[in-house]
Amino acid sequence: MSEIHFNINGKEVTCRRDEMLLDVALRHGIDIPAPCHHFALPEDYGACRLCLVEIEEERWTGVDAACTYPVREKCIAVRTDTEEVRRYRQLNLQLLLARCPESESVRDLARSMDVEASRFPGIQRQNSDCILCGLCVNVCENLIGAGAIGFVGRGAERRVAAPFDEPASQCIGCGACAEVCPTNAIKTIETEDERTIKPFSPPLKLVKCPECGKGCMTEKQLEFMKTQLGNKSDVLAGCPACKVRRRAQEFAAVLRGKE
Amino acid sequence: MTVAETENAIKHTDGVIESYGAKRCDLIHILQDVQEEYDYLPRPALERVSEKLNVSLPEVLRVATFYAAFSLEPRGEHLITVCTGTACHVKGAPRLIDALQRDLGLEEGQETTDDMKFTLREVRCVGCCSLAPVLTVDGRIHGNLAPEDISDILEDCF
Amino acid sequence: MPLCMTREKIGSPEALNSLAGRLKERAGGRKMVSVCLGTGCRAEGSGEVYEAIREAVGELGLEDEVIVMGSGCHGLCALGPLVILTPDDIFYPKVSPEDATEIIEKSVIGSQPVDRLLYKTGGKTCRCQSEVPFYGRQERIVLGLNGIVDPHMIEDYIREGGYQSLAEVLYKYPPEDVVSEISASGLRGRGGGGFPTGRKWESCRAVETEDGKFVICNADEGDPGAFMDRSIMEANPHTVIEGMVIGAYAVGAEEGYIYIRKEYPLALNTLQCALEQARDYGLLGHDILGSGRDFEINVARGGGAFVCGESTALTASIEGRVGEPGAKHIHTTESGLWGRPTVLNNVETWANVPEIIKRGSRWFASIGSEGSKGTKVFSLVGAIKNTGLIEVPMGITLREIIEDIGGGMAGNHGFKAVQTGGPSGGCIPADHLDMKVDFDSLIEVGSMMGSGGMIVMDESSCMVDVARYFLDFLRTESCGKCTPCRDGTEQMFMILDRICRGKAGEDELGKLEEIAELVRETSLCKLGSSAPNPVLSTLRFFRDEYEAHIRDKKCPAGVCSALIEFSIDQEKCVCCGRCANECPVDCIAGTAGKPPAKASEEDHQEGKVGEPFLIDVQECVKCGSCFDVCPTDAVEKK
Ligand SMILES: Cc1cc2nc3c(=O)[nH]c(=O)nc-3n(C[C@H](O)[C@H](O)[C@H](O)COP(=O)(O)O)c2cc1C
Ligand code: SF4
Ligand code: SF4
Ligand code: FES
Repeated sequence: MSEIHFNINGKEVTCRRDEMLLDVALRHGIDIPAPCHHFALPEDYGACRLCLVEIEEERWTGVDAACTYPVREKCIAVRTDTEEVRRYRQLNLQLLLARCPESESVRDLARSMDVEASRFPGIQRQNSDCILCGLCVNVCENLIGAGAIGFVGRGAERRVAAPFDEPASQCIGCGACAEVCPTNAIKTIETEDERTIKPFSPPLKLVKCPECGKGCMTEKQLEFMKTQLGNKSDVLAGCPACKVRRRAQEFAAVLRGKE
Repeated sequence: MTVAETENAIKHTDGVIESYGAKRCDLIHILQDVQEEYDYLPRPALERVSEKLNVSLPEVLRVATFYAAFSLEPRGEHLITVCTGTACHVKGAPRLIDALQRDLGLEEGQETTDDMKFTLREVRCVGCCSLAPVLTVDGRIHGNLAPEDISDILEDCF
Repeated sequence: MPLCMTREKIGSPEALNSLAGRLKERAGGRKMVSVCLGTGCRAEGSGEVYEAIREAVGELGLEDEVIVMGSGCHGLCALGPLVILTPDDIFYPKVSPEDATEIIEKSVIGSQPVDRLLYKTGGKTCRCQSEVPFYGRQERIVLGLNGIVDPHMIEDYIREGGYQSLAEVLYKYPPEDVVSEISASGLRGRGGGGFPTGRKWESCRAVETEDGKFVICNADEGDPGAFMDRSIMEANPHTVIEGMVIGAYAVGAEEGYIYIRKEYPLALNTLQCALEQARDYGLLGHDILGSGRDFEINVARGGGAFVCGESTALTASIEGRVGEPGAKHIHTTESGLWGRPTVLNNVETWANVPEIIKRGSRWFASIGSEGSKGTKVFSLVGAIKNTGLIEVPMGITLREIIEDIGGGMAGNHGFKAVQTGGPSGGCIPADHLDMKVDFDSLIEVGSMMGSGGMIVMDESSCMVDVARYFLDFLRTESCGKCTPCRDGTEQMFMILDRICRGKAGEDELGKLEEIAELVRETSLCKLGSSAPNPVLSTLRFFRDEYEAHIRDKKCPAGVCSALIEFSIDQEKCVCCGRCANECPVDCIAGTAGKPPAKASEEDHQEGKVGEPFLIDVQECVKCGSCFDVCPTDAVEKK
């Protein structure tokens, strides 16, 4: 694999051919807002258009999204903070603010780019904290493999929903979507016995950790993992904290045995 | 749908899936054939397609709600489609739609009349722009229309 | 209709030649009646005309001497149903079933035109198609065989020299020579972008792969107001197929797709029948023309989404997924359908290929203008006399198209603008009528070639309303993936809608321009980046109209219903009461009878005098029915 040399904001950087520009920039400590990017997901969707940067190629210079730009030889220089780039990012944020006027995360992001309020009238939609970045859909479908939620509709009518807007029957309650959501539009709500992924899932029963007795994962999640991994339930049982503790104890025992 | 209807829909859907050899890439074709049969996509059929093609239900619904040719709602007895291609638009298609909505008692955003007799849809370009503005009633093309003609056209359906 | 013959594989160019010869011989001396069965003519009843003519031929026992053929679109849709007689070369517009017997007896048997049925214009009677001004300025390469071949009969196409180019290519040209011939011709993509076809083919040909390549025909034609590609497929599907087989040979593909809209059932049907027949003859499939080459074409049906015309969305759709575009830094020719090297071309682009091979790149390059070679097919519609399907050399002026071919404006309003390029294009005003129509000139005036819709608008069209219309289209056709396109087109639409309703403030034009720039520069795909064009081009040429809506709350063209009011001129009203009859909400009151000004003493005594009608503006829904029906133009729209 050949190496590519170019500069970002005047700083010389090196990367693999076809590495995504956003990854290269982040690796070199250059900050670019990127709500719809998540390190855990293999492919970027390129939806929010906030990671815009100015790219200078041999025969073209213009603005493009860094997260979906594969760096090749023709790329000479990248500028992440030009007046134009800032203006476009701010305007896109204003559009998102009109969509999600209540969302704290969107407002925080906006403030960090000197945008106080949207100059555009709101477009009333369901689930008004969602910026349609697609991370939850991607994680649920491709990483977890549950396929419980998805996009419906197109254009401004597009939204994320469980099938037929009913409580998602395929949701295992893992909470990965809530974890990746950049705007906290999805929430994991837990009582002693149940977990609900708001607004998608029905209340799901929790299994108790055999050690500490606290609810650690949903029954469906355990079942799902069993079918995925084969029946290694001993590996699976227990809450993360207890599992770490148990691992550590085992490890310590091994070390002690060696002494 | 009644139980019998559901069973039938599933059987029919199975036949369609079979005819394409249950290939993932034929998802759109399969949904088109189901839509062709029922004029909409019944829920049991969608669930069946998801199961048989091994495609998640949200993904099937994503496709079903993306393409304008699909509908998740049953349609009325008569289908009226008003062409809203550019030529028809500048020659007065919006006035035809207003007139139809008024005569059929349809609210903004409502497609099918409460008595399930008529469904009103818009299509982009029927391809006979020389007759603009154009609408079709159950597939028959009527051209060179003005709002005044609407009541006669509707009457023909009774 | 189909003369019975079994179709056997043609094993060599010589066999193809001899088949063509036999077919020619058989057709020789026979008379042919070609009835246009294109969608426009069909809607005007050409199906019945076709049946009536067949019946008349049957009754006269002429089945063996006369061929009655249902053909694809002849072009002049405004005068449908159209009938053409060969070899006598007689052209009849507006034929009705009752004319059938006379046409057969007098014109087919007697070879004499029926004067009453001939087309008359400007004091001239036209006997044949070429005398009709509509056809006079055209140059028909792609549409050349429309009306001459039956689209359901591959034999007709072979008789006219079809598949000869393919035979020549397979046996005489190495693939790279085919590519350079196409490059030399200067052919540019007809699907909108105008990318040089030869260059596209070359970059795909150059890719080395074990996994196979694809060629795809883009027959999505999502532009609302265009029907060129459909007409080509309905009239002469084999030229598209032959073009694709040649292209596949040139780039080294063994599999291809035609992506066609489900909403085009006739075209779909014709195409499937054509593919079947081509396979029967061994012109498609395994061992084509005995050359040892294989190529198969599959049909993929689209589901009605404009964005699926975009290349990455189109390939996603063929793969059975939603038509969402992806970032396009790696060319389709390198990684397209299922990640394999893919050549995607438009219907009309493919249809040009066989003719270029047959007549040579030099001939093709001699037609057209500097940067745009060959011809372009347009669907010419709107406020013009001769609406229909036309094919003109590139570089022709807009004025020639509108005045010479289109026959000038229909109705009594003056010319205002012509819209080209569909939702990605723009409106061109009267002072640019002498501009050349080619790829580069159209872009210069802020429009584009697009796939070939051309909509002529007169003074009764409101340019703000037109911009609003396109943005309404685009906001619903946006796939909704990226922020600027999804929410930017929505916001632009909302601003335009406020302008049309007289609710927009003075600062809204500035905002509109600001979002337009954002959407153009930062959208993911070309749907988004070209979405502002309808707004920007109307703002550029018709800014005063926007200002009239915003400042004076007036729609100068009288289209935006919130800004117009209907009233009845009491002097002009003849008290016929037709308006009140038509009014859907019964908000017109008056008494039908003799107009008071014309009434005599007796009329008064007999109570026959009417009272002029009046509109209750509070109740009026502004449907305009009264305006349409008033015989004396007493209803005013202001
Ligand atoms: C939103 C959008 C819609 C398009 N629609 C069509 C279409 O309907 N037909 C078409 O041939 N090309 C369409 N195109 C252009 C195609 O993406 C592609 O450039 C073209 O098919 C390439 O063929 P050509 O080089 O022969 O023109 C569209 C492009 C975009 C961005
Ligand atoms: S819910 Fe969150 S993760 Fe899902 S699309 Fe919306 S913003 Fe993205
Ligand atoms: S520009 Fe529009 S159509 Fe293209 S990806 Fe973005 S939202 Fe979808
Ligand atoms: S992070 Fe690149 S578009 Fe959202």
